[in-house]
Amino acid sequence: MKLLIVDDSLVIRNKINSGLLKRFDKVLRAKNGVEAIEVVKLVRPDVITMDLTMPEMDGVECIQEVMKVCPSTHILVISALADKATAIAALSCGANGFLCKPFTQSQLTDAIEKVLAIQLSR
Amino acid sequence: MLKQLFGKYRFLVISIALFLIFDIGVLVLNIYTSGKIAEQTELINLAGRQRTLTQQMSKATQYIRAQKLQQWVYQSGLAELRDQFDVFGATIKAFNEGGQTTSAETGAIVSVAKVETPEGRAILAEATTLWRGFEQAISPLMIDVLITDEEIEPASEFIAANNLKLFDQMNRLTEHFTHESEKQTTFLRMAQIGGITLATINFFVILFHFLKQLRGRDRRLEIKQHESDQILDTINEGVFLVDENLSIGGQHSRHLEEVFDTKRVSGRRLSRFLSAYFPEKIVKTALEYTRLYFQSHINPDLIADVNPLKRVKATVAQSSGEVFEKYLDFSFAPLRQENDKRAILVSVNDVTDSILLEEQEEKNEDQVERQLALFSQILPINPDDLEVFIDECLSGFEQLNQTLKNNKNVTDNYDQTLARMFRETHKLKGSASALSFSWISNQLHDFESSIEGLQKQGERKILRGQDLLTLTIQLRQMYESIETVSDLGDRLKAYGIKHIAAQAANALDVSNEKQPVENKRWFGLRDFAEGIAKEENVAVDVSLRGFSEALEPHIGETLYPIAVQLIRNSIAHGVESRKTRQCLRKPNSGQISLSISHDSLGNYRFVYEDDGRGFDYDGIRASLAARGVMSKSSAAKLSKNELVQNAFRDNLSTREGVDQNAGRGVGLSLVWEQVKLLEGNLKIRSVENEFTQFIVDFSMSEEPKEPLISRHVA
Repeated sequence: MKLLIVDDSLVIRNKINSGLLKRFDKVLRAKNGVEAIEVVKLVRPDVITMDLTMPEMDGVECIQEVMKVCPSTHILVISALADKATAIAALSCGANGFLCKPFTQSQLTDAIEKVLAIQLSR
Repeated sequence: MLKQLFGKYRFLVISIALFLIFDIGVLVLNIYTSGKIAEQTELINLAGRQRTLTQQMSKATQYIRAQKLQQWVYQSGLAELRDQFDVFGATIKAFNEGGQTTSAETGAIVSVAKVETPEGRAILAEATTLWRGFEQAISPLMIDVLITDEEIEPASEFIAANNLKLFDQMNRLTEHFTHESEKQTTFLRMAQIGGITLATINFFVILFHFLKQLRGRDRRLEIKQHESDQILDTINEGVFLVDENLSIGGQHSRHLEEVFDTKRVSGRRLSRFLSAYFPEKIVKTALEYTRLYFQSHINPDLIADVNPLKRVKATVAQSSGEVFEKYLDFSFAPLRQENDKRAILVSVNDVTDSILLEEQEEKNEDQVERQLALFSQILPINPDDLEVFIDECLSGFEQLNQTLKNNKNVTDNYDQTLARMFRETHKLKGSASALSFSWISNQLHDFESSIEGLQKQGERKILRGQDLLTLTIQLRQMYESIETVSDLGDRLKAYGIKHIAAQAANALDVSNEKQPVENKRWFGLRDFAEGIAKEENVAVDVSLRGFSEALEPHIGETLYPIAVQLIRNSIAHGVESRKTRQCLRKPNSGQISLSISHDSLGNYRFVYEDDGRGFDYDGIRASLAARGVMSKSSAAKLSKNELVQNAFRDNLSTREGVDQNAGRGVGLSLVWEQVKLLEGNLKIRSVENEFTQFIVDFSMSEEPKEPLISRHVA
């Protein structure tokens, strides 16, 4: 199982990484949407944790691109609750769940398991 | 298996099958018995014909005998007899053994079953015995065309003697067959009645069973409906269903109607329903959010956080016409209905009370915190200083209030009005800062910011009375604050709590210079200066001379704001950092001195001096240009004296950005206002990177003087 962490904050990337390192065989990181798309094309991850507010390409745009390239990927949006409308747009585009920052490790693992439990038929 | 195959309809299937079995059984029995009756009828006919044949054979024999005696032709009678003999013989044989004979009605060949009944067999046995006699008597007549008297006579006699016996047996046989036929007819009737009765019973069983079931189901449905109605009527939550088309379902809780003060809920589009209570943007987001619950790629547990209708403010117009604001909390739960369609159970709670309570609690906590902070700020202040400060504030606020009242309906002169208010506020802020009373100085700072905002607005448009409304509100709050301070001060006094500052001052009185009670706050300026210096990251020493003699209240109150403003100016603009001072070979701490002296004629001199960098002439030039007072080129041409003169303009500051200590450019203009109150003269001496000195000369004699600023700039 491969995980891709997309977040412009190094602290958040490290936090997600430490929380999910044991759950996945391989963990990759990207600090914006553009990097994330390149990784998705090469690696086709099973799960992506996606921030919404990032430089260069934001989360919603990135999810739309990921859906074109690798629609079988499970996506968990991890973001602060500044703009609920953007979070809803991300979910409408194809993300499978939302986790609000700040979060605990148990909330993170629980959300990842719930996202993985979804049967994707796309 | 039946249960699996037909489920709850198995009883109906069994009932219908039984109905068909009964009907088919009756039909088959009918057909079978009808055949039997037809056979029996044939037997009756045949037996009846046998009876007739006995009579005919007797008659034919008598006819042949009579013809023979008369020598007449008898062959026709003989032919009849022979036919009758053959038919009777064949028929009785068929009765005995089963076989064929001619039909009594049609003459056609018919098959006859062997008579099996005991009674029939007995009759036939007797009849057969008699018939054998007949056969022996008649058989000689069967051989030739011509018969002799020896042949006809015995036959005639035998038949005459036994004819009635055989007739009687055939008659019995006919009756027996008739009786058997009646028995079968009765059986058929009984079978038909039985079958129809069973079928009818079955029909009624089906009818009553289903009526019972239907009634039971109706009753259960009614009970369920009643229960759900009761639940929906009593549940203390607004509940309704939303289908995939985002339409509201047919049922909802009564509380929902109370929450939204409407009965028009069922069947409406969710978008229309929400639009009546929420702004368009929220409705749009809420609809998008609701759609997420119908999307298979979403885990409903992971989207509750983005619910846009959580603790959201709704505007509810009541039927009475009144409009209320409510805080509502929507929650969503996906459902799968019987027909595999999806729906969402939406529950709505009115959380207005709890939110208002939370707000009130927060407010109370803030108030407690503020009071604690206020308490901690008041405690170190000398009670006498506090009293003077409160009076100063009340008087200053009254002035501000009067200014606001007088200018309510005037549309011009706002520049001057605002500048005056600014100066008054700045003076009070200086006093608050001098007492380290940040709770009040912050409010005064905010008030200054509001005045400054209006001044900027005034540059773009003509201000009106209503524009000053925010100032009135802020002023009222400041009044309340100072009343709270006054109240708290009184309470502290009542509880006999000695202030830290008072205690410290008393302690100092033992060892230090003489500090008259009237001048106590002047000595507090050292702490004030140290406090500002700490904020500005510099160090200062404040020395006071001439304050061991009690100042007249009027002089003290007027000079004190000058001292405060000049200390603030010195620290914010004049005193250099420790490093710079070391390079300039100056003491590490900035030296600030204040002195007051007077002669016997009542001529006073107040001297303020610091050893800072002096006036920032370039800064004044830049500020004049930036404020639009004059062009850059005009500012560049100004002499140092002119620049110092301009530094006393309102709103002129060389400081970039505004904080509690400097930046608004009101300090020097305030100094000048205070000098004017004393009708004094102001002299300024300044040497770049050496010192700056302010000398206020005034007289307490009765002769009025014109105030004057003079500058001595090196």
